[in-house]
Amino acid sequence: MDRAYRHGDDVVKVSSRLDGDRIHVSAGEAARTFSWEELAPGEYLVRENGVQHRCVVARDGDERWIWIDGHVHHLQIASDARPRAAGTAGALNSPMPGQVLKVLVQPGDSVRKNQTLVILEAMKMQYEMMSPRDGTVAAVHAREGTQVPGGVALVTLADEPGAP
Amino acid sequence: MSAKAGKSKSQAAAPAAPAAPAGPAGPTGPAAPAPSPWSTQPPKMFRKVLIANRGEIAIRIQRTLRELGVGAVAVYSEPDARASHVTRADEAYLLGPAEAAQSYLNQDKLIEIATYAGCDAVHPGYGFLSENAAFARRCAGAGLVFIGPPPAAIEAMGSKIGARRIMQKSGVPVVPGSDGASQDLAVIEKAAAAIGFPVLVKASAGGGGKGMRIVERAADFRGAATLARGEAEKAFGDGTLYVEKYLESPRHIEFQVFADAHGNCVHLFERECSIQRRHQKIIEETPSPAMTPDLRARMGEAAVAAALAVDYRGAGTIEFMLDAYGDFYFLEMNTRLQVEHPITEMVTGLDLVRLQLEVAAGAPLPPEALAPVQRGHALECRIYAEDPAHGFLPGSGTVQRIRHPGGPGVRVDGALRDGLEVSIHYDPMLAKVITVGRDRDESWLRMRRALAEFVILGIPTNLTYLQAILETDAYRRGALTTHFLAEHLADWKPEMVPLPDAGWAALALHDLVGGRARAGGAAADASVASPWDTLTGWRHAAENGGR
Repeated sequence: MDRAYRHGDDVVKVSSRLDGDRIHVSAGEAARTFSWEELAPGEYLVRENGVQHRCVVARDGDERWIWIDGHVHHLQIASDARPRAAGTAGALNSPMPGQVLKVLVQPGDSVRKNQTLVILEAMKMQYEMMSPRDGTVAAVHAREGTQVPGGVALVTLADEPGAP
Repeated sequence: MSAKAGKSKSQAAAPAAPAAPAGPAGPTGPAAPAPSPWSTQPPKMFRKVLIANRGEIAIRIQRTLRELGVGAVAVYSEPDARASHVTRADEAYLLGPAEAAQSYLNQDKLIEIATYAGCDAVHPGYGFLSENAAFARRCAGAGLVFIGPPPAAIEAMGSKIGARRIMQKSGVPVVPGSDGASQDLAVIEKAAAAIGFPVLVKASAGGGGKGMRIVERAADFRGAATLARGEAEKAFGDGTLYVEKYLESPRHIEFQVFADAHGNCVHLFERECSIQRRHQKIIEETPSPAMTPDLRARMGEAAVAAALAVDYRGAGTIEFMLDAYGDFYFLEMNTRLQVEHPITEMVTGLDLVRLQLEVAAGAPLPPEALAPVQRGHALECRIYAEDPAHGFLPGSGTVQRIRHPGGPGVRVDGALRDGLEVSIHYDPMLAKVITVGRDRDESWLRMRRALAEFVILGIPTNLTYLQAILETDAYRRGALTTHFLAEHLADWKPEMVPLPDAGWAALALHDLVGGRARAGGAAADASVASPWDTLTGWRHAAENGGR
């Protein structure tokens, strides 16, 4: 199996081949061979000679998590063509799921950089969503009292005059 | 710890006139002669208790109830239907939709359920209705014992402004600040200017960092005060504000107090909670590295005096600021069990929930609480669902896989399980890891080990941040202040740890064979369905992996 994983800012290409109770892996560098055992669902013991690591793994769609040596790593399967940036350019996007508490602007309003446009609430804290730049509000997508997922446009600003 | 330091005062007042114990009040019948508070009969205990809370604290309370053979009744909101505090209880009843006002704050419904289920008491936990005097009164009116202080004590301390006045009268020092008499923002702003910036704008009804803002400059005052008021109105239904001098490098040190209905009022030593992010405590410890036997005696005495000033009963916490010169100031009293109560339990060997139940049932505090001993050192780290790599934004989602730490000196109070949905509606605290050791160094070693052992996959957590705090020299030296994180970790970013080849092998394995048990391994289960499970068709149907 050949796969690319996004791990932080890196993309790591990993080739693996299952061979009974052994697995051959190469992650960029020299290939290694480990023996393995599944201890419980998602929990593996991976050995090379006498040295062993207990790993706990989980997945959800393209998301992967692994705990090994006392650290949790969060990775994604990198489908090469797709750019990663979520949300809409030129818009104020929700940084996380939450509830829209207040919408402070209307289409046509002119706003300053860092002006609070929307107040979101999540897990009992309020977050002020601030304008990324000076501009004019083109559209307001957020509605008070509704829930929004992460990475969706709350407010769109009109294109800057003279912008390329 | 010298033996002397360990001895605390048990007797603030001589045993008062034996007031009738506020035992499990059935419907008020003819006045029976009050049993002697010193009788050797086993204390009366409740039959069944409704826990008006959720998450880890509800489970914590259930555990003590079970030890005492008392029935535990859980309540829940719609999104919490499969939450651990519900599935573990003896009985569970739906309150309503997610919104707290319609569920965990719904007094009518809570009392209706408690009555229906035949409970004789209600434990409010922390947060929600724990410091709501009206609810405490309504419980009493319905023949239910509210496991907490008398409503009048809640009211006296519930207003931070009022509490400051009472403390000043009782000779307990308070932080310089405004009296909150006027709620006109212009007047409060003037008071702030008179005290001198920076100041803290605080909600009189606030707590847990909600409804509180630091204001550095006069120009920022209006905006900050408006936000604080909004938060306070939403969270506590009361937007009353006041301002306080922002102390330069204070420690947050609080004392656990306990009072019974027989005139006993004691403190169970201090907890240092200086490590705070956005006024939210994240690491607590006891004893405090700043404490001396003399200071402990003086602060403990002030804490007991504060509790006596409001005729307190049950578990409470007196919070102080301790400045760099060794002067301490009363901050507020929390008239409930605290999140960080386990560290006190670890060094005193007392179960604070059991003491609450006994006191509420009318029993006197036991000798172990009247003459408490502080032994070893305990630490607590709070695990939050927030992403330190992205500005600590809260991270809701599905918990995919959990492995709890354990072993010598490690305790986990939590509500996590595989498949749990962490919703946006409630507090982001997922669990608390508590360690105890013979000294501060040993509890620290155990905490490092326990955090590394804690596996939480599927949602972001602050584990790496907690680990980074523990590794700083200043933390190891015990040089703590409430500005610790701003001073030592302001520029901290999670370190990018490369994944070892064995990890890449395990990741590949999980996609290739995940869920299929191998010889010698455990049988596959569906705690998190993998595509291999779904191939078999039937396994996946178990409610979203819930167990």
